[in-house]
Amino acid sequence: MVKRKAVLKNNVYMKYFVVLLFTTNIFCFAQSPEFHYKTRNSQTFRIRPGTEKTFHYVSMDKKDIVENTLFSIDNETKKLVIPENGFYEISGSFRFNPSTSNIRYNRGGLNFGIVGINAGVEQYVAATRKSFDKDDQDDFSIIVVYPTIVYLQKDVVVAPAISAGLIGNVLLGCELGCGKQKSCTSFEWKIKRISNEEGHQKYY
Amino acid sequence: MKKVIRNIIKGLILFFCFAGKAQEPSFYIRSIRSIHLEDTAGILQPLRFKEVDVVYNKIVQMSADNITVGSNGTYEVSAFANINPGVMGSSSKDSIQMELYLIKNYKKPGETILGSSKFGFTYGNFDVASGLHIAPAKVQLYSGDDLSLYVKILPTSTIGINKSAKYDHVTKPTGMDQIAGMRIVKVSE
Repeated sequence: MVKRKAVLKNNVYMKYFVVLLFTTNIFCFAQSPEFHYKTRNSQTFRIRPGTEKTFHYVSMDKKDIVENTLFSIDNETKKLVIPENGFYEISGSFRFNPSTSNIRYNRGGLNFGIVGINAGVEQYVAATRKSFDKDDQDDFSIIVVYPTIVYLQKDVVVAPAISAGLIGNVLLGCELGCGKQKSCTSFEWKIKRISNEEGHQKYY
Repeated sequence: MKKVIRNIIKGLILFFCFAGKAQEPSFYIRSIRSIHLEDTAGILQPLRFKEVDVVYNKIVQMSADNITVGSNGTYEVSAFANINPGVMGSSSKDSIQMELYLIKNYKKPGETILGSSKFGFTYGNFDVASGLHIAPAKVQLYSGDDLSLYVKILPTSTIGINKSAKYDHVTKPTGMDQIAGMRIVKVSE
């Protein structure tokens, strides 16, 4: 009788343990920590030639965060801070109109991507170079940053930005937005931690 | 009670084994060196990577600059290169067309173009780098398949690219560090 009670007790312990194990697995490994932002908001920029080191950051609205299991965000948060060292996969898309007719027969290179800010140094960690020409100088184009894997250290700040690459004339009212379309995705980006292994990465 | 403790230890061993393997089955490589292209139209020119360029690797073998898939499965592949022809051009009629290719088993049985991207440089933009991007595509790959990246200057180009041996055409665009890269992700067995 005593032995039977002990077996039953063991079974109860085992049930709790199995539940605990599955729960821990679900929380720790079922999903990689991820941040997903998607908006239809518009934003205009003034981009000047010869200012390739100036990043024009894209404003973000907390209500347009689709998912966040990565960053610590509250009402006071102004920056997205990488929570721990690891390998991260970053992607994004920008719906952008240079809003000019000056690129025809002129330089039209602009950069779109996600900047990593580490100890005050700003650097694209995932980015796409778009060279506009006479065919898309006054039209909306979708510039995609395809998934890029990068090693990021804890406390690096990440933020989406546009910068002048090599342009011939100032772009006074270039726009990230939907234009005449009432509903579209003007800007979207994702960052996901794919591994918390230690590593390093030269340049980016 | 001892049995319970023994089972817990077994469970924990399994748990940590599983945790250790919880890595994204991905590969990402990017060149940190600029790359020279020859002014030769119609020829595939390789964009070679080195082991030191690997950012993250759980699924391929790198040897002698070859990127070789380790197991059969469905993969998602993509690539990019930022290219600057490095010339000025003399009239609005001038143009340079280039195409970037991601090729499986180049010059081997089963050679296949997995993806490509074309860009036309026009007057005014000949000395401005443009990104040639091969969008992510799902492909079936087998253990031992090699993947490599090539650029071709198309014969429709009306002028040549910078002919200086010291000029590197695949390079950092102004204001960016990205040069060329490739991503492979195993989607399923």
